[in-house]
Amino acid sequence: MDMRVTDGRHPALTDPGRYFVDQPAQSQFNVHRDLFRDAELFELEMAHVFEASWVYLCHESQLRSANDYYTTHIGRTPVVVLRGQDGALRGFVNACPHRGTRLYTARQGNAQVQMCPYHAWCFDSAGQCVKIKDQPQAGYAPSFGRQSHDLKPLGRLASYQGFVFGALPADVPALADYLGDARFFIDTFAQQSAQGMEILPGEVSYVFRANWKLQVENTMDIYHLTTVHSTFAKIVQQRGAREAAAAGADKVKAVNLGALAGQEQGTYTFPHGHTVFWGTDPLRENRALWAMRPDLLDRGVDPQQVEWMFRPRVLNFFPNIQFVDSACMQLRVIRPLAPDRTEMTMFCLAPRGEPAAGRRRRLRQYEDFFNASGIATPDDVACYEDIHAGGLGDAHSEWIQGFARGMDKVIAGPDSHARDIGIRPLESCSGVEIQDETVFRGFYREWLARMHKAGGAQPAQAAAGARA
Amino acid sequence: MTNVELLDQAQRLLFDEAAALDQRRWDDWLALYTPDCEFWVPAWKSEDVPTADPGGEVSLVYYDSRAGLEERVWRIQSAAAPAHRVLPRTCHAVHNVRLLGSNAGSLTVHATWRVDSYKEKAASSLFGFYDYLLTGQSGAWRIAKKKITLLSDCVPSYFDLYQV
Ligand code: FES
Ligand SMILES: [Fe+2]
Repeated sequence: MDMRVTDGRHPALTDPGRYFVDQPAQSQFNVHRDLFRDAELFELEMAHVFEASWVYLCHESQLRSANDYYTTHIGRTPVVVLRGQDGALRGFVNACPHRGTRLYTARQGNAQVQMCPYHAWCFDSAGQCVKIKDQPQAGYAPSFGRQSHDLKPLGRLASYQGFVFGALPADVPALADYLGDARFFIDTFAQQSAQGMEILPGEVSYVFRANWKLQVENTMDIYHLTTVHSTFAKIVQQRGAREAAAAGADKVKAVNLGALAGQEQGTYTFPHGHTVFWGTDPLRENRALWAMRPDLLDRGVDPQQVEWMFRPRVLNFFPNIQFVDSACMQLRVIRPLAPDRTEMTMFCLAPRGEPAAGRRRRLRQYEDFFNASGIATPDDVACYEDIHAGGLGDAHSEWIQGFARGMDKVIAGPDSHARDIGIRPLESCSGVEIQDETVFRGFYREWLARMHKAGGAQPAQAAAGARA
Repeated sequence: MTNVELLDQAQRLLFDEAAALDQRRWDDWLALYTPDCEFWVPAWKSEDVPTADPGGEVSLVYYDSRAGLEERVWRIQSAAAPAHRVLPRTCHAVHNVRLLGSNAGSLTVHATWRVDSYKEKAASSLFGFYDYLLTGQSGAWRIAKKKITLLSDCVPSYFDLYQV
């Protein structure tokens, strides 16, 4: 069966390039405001960005036992990941083939057989239909027996280092090729414990009133840290002062943004729209992982990998998953709901077997910064909601020109840091105080390539940009 | 002291706290807590089960002293946090207050709550349960522990401590 999202329901844009001015030779990159507010465009990007290739689904630690399941979405499509009796993970559209009733309603659970609540067709944990209620005398035509009644499989499902990705179509690149050299940075998350990583219990979610791409921008944005998070930075400083006064009362030891600002930082742009930003933390002994550092080296983890584990890093994998490690590790999964509404689900990721004191501190660092009830993330959310209330509300404004920082510093290919660790980004930008914005282009160029692939014409100007 | 009198004293403290938050009398609010108080809003492990162990599971908010609350108050008043540029008007409704236990130095109290927030011409609400441990002596209780179970945990945008 062809799983492709066809263009019949959502015809491709005739000219997606009209949303961008991308002229590297003139150091010019602008984005049109309609990219964030057009309702028709939203449906197209669900079809061609989210439903046309790999998206992140879940972590293997969320399905540890046979018959465990986990529900999520690929774009607008409800999806369930199942661990079969044979231990294999499989992904399916979470809908009964009979009339389409949603089959798994809980976020996660365990079911050897799942019965549809409507007419009681039953499915095993490999997605096979094992029972059709009252079948013998029902008068089904012979053709019914020749049809498959199993769950509709995803085109592809694959894991990298325990992180599970799925795609609706089958004709997508191998996952390792899709993630490319940016895998180095996933390894800096995944290799922190010989026993592997786990998602800690307690999922946090919120729905914000802004376009999903504004949140992605925020994730790639170093420039905002010292303004948006100034109260966070001051609170961390005050805690430090209290600690000095009370000899060790700062049990959180959050990341000190003030100390990061003068240090070397940089960005990498990888094929397929993945981006990384990294910094230098002069207080890395405050990280919960510090206590495990000797074990990491003893275990033979590449010393370069270990060094990079202590750099603040933000990884954005196109289109829907972000790995953040500023103080502690966080996974953020984006689910766009409407042009101006996005659901964010967040997870605290930790090395298995971590000492209890480090685990406790990791949790406090996570809640402090990342929660929608914390003292940093709410300020990010307020800013991109204010973009909707501001520039996007101006029906007559057209171009956003907020992508200029670093334009004269960005280089094609790897910088010296990238060469040291043997990765080949498309573009690199590093230094002190640059707070680079060129990395946004990599995300938008992939967005544009997806739209073109869906059938849009390729204007010469955008093509020139994509090759630069 | 009868249980009716103790319940009345506990209710009065809960209502005082609600009023201090709704009226933005932050210092009065802080004064209701002991310096080594525990302030905890668990997250949820599943549809039915909140997290139970702040040492190993994610919380929405967890502080093991009043310092965390003081940081929040400083932040709200700093006028530098984008999330607090306009403070929502809030209205705490605290109801079904029950005295679950008492001894010479402490009271255990359960209540249900709903906080309506209103900002930029839009209303939203959060709701759940409170579990308090009050310590001190009759007539002068302070909050030693407060656990806020937030039932509506997929929140609109973000929230702060005055909205739960
Ligand atoms: S819809 Fe599932 S059995 Fe009918
Ligand atoms: Fe931020």
